[in-house]
Amino acid sequence: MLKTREELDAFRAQAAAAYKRQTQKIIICGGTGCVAGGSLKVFDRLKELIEAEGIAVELDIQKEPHENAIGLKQSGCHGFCEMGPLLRIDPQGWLYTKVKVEDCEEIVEKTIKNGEFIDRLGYSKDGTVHKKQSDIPFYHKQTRIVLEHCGRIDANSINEYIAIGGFTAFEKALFDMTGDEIVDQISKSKLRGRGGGGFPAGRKWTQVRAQKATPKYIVCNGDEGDPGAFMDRSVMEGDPNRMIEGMMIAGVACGATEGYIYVRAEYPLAVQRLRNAIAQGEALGLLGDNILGSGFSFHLHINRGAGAFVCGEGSALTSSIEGKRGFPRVKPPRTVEQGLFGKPTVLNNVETFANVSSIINNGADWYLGYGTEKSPGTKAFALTGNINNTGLIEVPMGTTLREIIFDIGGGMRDGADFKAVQIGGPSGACLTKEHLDLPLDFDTLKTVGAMIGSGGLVVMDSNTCMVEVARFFMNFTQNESCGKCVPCREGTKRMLEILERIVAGKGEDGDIELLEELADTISNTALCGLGKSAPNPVISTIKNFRDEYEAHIYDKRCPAGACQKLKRIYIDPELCKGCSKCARQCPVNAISGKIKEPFSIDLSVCIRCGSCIEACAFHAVKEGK
Amino acid sequence: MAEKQYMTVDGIPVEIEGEKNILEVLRKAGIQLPTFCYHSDLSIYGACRMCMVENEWGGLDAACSTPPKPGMKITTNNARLRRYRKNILELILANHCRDCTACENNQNCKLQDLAMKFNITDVRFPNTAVSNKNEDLSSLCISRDAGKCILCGDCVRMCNEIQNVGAIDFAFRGSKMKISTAFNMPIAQSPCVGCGQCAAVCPTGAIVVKNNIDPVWKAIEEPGVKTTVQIAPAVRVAIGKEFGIKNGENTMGKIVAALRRIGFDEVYDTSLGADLTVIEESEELLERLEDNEDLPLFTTCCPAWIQYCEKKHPEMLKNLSTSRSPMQMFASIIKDQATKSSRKSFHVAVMPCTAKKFEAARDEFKTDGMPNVDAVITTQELIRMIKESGIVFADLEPESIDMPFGTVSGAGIIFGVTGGVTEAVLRRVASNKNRSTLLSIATSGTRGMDGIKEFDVPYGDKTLHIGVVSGLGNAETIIGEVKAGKHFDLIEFMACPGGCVNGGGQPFIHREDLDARVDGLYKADRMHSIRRSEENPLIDHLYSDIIKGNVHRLLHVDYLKKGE
Amino acid sequence: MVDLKVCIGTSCHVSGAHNVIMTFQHMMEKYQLYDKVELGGTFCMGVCSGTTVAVSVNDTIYAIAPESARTFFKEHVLPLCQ
Repeated sequence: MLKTREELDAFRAQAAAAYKRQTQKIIICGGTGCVAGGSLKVFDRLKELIEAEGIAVELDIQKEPHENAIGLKQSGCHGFCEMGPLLRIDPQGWLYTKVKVEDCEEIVEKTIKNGEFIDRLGYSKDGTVHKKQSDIPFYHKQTRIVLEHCGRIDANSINEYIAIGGFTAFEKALFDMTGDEIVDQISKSKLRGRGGGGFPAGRKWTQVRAQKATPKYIVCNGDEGDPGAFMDRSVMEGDPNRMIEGMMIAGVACGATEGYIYVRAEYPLAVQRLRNAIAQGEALGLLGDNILGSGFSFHLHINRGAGAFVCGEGSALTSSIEGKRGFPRVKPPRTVEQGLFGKPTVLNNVETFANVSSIINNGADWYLGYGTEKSPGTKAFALTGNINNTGLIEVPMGTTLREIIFDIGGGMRDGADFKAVQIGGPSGACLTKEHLDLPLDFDTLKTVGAMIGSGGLVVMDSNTCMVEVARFFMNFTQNESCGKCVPCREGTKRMLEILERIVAGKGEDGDIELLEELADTISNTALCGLGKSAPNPVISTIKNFRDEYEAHIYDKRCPAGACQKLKRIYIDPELCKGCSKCARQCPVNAISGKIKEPFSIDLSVCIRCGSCIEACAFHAVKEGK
Repeated sequence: MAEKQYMTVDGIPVEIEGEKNILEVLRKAGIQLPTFCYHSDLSIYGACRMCMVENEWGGLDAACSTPPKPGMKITTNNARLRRYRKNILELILANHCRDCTACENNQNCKLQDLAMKFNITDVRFPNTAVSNKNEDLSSLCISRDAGKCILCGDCVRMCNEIQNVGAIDFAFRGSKMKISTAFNMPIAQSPCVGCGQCAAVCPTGAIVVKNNIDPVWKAIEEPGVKTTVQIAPAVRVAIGKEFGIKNGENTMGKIVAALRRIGFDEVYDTSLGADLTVIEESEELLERLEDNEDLPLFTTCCPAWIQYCEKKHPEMLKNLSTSRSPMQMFASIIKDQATKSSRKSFHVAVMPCTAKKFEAARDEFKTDGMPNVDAVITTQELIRMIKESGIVFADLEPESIDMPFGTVSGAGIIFGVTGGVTEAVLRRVASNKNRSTLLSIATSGTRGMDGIKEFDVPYGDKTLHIGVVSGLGNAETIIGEVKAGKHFDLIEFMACPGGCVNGGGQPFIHREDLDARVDGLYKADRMHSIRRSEENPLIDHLYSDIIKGNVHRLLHVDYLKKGE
Repeated sequence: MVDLKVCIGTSCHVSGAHNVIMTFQHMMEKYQLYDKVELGGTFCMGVCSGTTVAVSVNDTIYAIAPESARTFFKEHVLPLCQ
């Protein structure tokens, strides 16, 4: 139990020394992606083998370290998920990819005992093996501030977090700065909300600080509901203390004594890591009453979601914590004035909080050195879709799409053609070839009708049907709509109805105009952000790919060849012998013709079951676009 | 003097006088924006999105949930807003049972009203509503149909916020959302107390009062059956408006005439039952005061309140008065009389109340297994029966009720308004019977539309501390105070805010028009020569005749046993 | 039979005579005294005071405050019914 600042500093010095003393650090990625790939089994096997060799293994830094111990750690997500399970070796900074349990013996023999690099486990591109993690092209153009420690430190150890300098920002905020000064730094840094809203965090904190009502609350939005987004998950799993430190600093600045972290229930590992971090923090006296003798108290609670995307909306989230139905409510009153339990509340995203300690430690000017003028700092993006390097990246604001997709992302998979990228999930829009050189920041994207959102990027090639993309996101939004307001509840239902008809080949003249009309009504009259932004994917795909919609509706054709019901199955007259076998197989009698003459398929009857393709001995029945 | 504050509405300055939202300011400017989910007594919900107005920057705000600020400039009506309103209506209609001609609420429906106002001639989406009136037949008081629900949430907020019952709430999410009881249990098994306030606020026909007209017609037309009917006080001031008569006017005479034309054999006034209730409850109060036991005494005229007490506060059952409600006391007398005749007796009660349908079916109020009140019809149903019969209500010549039960007191008539029972009891209990006492009781604190009224009244050498409560949310508050140790001698409980004049079975009116009904009852009381229950000569007569020796059997009930 | 009479003359009426009658009625019902007590109204017995009600029990006249009707019955009538 640390009772004073001096005790914390002494503890830190001790932990740092113990950390340094670990001659080698073997860091296995314990992020959900790599765990799914078997990384925990690798961890266990390595531990077994190392201990069998008689080498001392430390699973956490010790007060009384063994002089020749090596540290074996589970870290958070490295981001290079396509290549997992990942294993990092320090002090060399080497990275092994796609590590299996069978590789462990060799790793212990060659690398741990003899310091040799195993080439076949390293990342290689174009014949070159990149030994060091920092050399790998995927990491070159990244600037990892928020994800600084993910993949580098033990995600289960507060001691290690402190050893590498953790909680110095909190100390500084608690003892060396006034509340005004803290808020001032954050405001000067122009830190904007990373959850999608882009609202200046400094202004939010100032407003809560000015409120008189108590108690005040700090709430962290860890609901991350966008399909394909896992930035917040990685921070919560890989560096929970960083986020917690940000919340504690907010507590000091605004005079709040209670904090809530709302984590979606589908992130059990994140919940576990957070629980662990909080328990360890409480044991050390960094959370609780009269922290470090300062008089400041801060208690953290975790609330788990229950599978509702709408609970990522601020007022629905607070409603959920209060034990009520996850309905957003009308504003005013705003959350900063009457938020959780009707009290002034700072509600920020995980990533936003994770930026705070760096800003306090290094100053606002340092932060302004990254990113663009109006959107300083970095942003974590989850890169998914038809690219080579899928995973988690962090780049300065203002990085272009081209750099992200082709430099960091490694270009399109299988040499496919870039078609579009969906940014911002179900509330977002798509960006096309013409936007490749657009700098990604809050304001620039608004000018083209898009938004950064939470940071999910789904890259699509020419085999992706954009109408289906719109339908997919509208289906998601419809399912997740809370049901309170008419435009979202009924409007998205009807938009989905129309889109489903279109991809099923039953589109009608006037459908596009009706979609646009509904979109206008919904985006202007819906009660909350979910509803207001629900039509975005549809509007954006209509704007950029109207011809695809028209092909579906008027030609009953899917240009990408993706929509099942619009697949064109035809009989090549050059190959058809007129044997009628296909016609006899057809369950709906869609094929007709005269014996010994080429047969033909009536596409309006055809159900695309494919039986005819299988039946034809001459391969005359084909699928085309 | 404070400087006046203005906002600009469609170019016209309108004064802001402390209204909590733009919607209310607009009503002053002569603009009625369409709304579904806005209700002045309930919390702001902001879900229907019909009341959007455009601000000076081209953005949209919901008028119901935006507070007015001096200098604000808004536009309430332009092509864009009209298009949005029409689209929202169209979307609602696309998921709504449009079989209006067969609906109970035909011509009484806000959705119909707005669809007409906005000239909706085409719904471009396939109709996905499934109408099913018989999904849950367990309630005796209300009937629900999800296919007519527009999910405005008024019923939920009324049940949870005002009535503190919480029998219904939203279930599921998005377009699958529906109003439901917990675990979709039959509503009779839920905390529902049958107050009918949900039906009163429902803008469409999704929740309606249960219809019991058919058995009444059947009994009237059955040979060999003597049909008798009693009319509750609150009915007589609420029915006229429906037929073009001034709101709040006492049309008792016409009601009696109408009921006779419909075919009832004998027509009576529940106010006589109320007089009996006053006598019994007063004695009970005096006895408890003397023994200083089981105070405060809780009134028991309201069956929704009784159910609330049984379901939520069974530990308070001992405070309930053992007196039956006026309807039941009178029915006891009627049925007792009927045993002396060979003709079968069918007794009907016309009530402003949905919960009375439940009360009539309670086992406690049966004689030899048969209910004392055979059917309860609400004011709304009576209106339908009158219309069905082709009677032109406004043209009827007023008639008087029948003997031998034809005398009532003014004290009995005021039972229909919150504070009326208390005032009637105080008139009886007061020792001094002159005119000035009537006045001092009237101004002691019994009157007024406040949900909780508290005041003192001298009695002998004591001072009685009295509470009058209407609205079950307020009932919860006062019970909390009693449990915390605050002393009361008598508390009157009415489930419906404002009392029976605002009952679930009454025709719909706006809050502002409720006062006319209240005034109508007090006026009727003033016009009566007999102002006190004990001065009603019938009372003396009944006590020395029918009731003698049968006070307990006819006029009392034991809720405590049921509670155990 | 106990002969119990309550005055319902003008002064007693205004002083709450009916309160007394109703109370006595209920006491009789409660204690089942219909064959022991005969309750009736009577005209002015000449003890008008403006605040009390005249009651006669077997021809003995009392002037009681209506609030004390219950106590009066218990003290003066009930004992005669044993």
